[in-house]
Amino acid sequence: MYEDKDLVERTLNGDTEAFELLIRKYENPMFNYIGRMVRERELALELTQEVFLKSYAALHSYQPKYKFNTWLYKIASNLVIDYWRKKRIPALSLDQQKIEGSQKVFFQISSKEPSIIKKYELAELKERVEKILEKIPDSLRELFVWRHINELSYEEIAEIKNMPVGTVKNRVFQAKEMILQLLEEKP
Amino acid sequence: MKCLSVEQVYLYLEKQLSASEKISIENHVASCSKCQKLLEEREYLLLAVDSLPSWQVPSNFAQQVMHSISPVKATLWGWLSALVGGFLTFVVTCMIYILATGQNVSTLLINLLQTIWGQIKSSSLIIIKFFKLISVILTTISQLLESLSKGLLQILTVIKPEVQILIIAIFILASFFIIYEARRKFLLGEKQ
Repeated sequence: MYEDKDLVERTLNGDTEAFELLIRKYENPMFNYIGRMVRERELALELTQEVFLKSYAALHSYQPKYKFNTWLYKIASNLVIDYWRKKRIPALSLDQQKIEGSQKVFFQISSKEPSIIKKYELAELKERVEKILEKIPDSLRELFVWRHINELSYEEIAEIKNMPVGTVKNRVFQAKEMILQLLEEKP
Repeated sequence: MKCLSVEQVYLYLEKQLSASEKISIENHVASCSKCQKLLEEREYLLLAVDSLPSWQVPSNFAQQVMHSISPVKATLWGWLSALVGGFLTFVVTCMIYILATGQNVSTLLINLLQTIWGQIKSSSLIIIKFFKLISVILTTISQLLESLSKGLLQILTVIKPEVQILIIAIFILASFFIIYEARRKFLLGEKQ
């Protein structure tokens, strides 16, 4: 298995097959991230393709001291924000978006008995979580998807969003608490 | 120990705590049903969120992207390779010319230079200076080629014709290889 940095170098030296290998490595993780952000398959495919085209055009500006995947997700994140801006969809600024009541949710621990979450079979729970994700604020959903679907470390997410690691952890925990709270509501 | 915070629960479940913190939490949970419930709920949630179905791109996705890719600007290395390749090709062509005709190519270069020089003599001072510089470079190259040709002619007197043909063939092959490599570096993004 080639290292990302080697593949980038080979691409810059004219080996387009190396870039194809990078696409194959990141096409599904990128599609999963963008898909969960825009919730439309065709649109997600289009944006995923655009991420790779943009990254190819900007490859000479990539600095090997950073991880390639975080650089790629940064491009993807900016692309999603740009798309929302063009479409004039509100709540665009993922970093500055206000998370109404999120602090409240974070510290609120349900004491209801018995626990609703345990009533779901695992398959059913996954289905519910997938639907609930749409209701989670974009700023929290983005970090949650990176952590639990793309399996990035908190440090990698912090690098992408240029945020302190502690803030990233806090927001991912908030997202999960919000999911738990929304699970209590009727489907 | 106090009851667990949500943050502690997640850090514990994601194995982000130190060994001592982990033991301390486990001891507390063993005797606190409220925290036990808190932990179990979130453990079950993590089980679900960590195994959500994966979205898959079509199998020809990477090929489609590669189709849309257009050549990008050549790197500095690409430009240098092209320059070196071009220069070497020029040198090889001159050598072949010398070997084939037995003539002195330096005379040709100097005549060419003199013709150009005569045409532009009346032009502006800047252009004259510029061509003066070129003339110096070309004179140096011609002198170099002259020495080279003299050397080659001397070698030719002692080398058999078969060996001469072999040397020419090697030069031609090397020249093609250099041009191909330079072109490959220059045209980043072209399908191969």
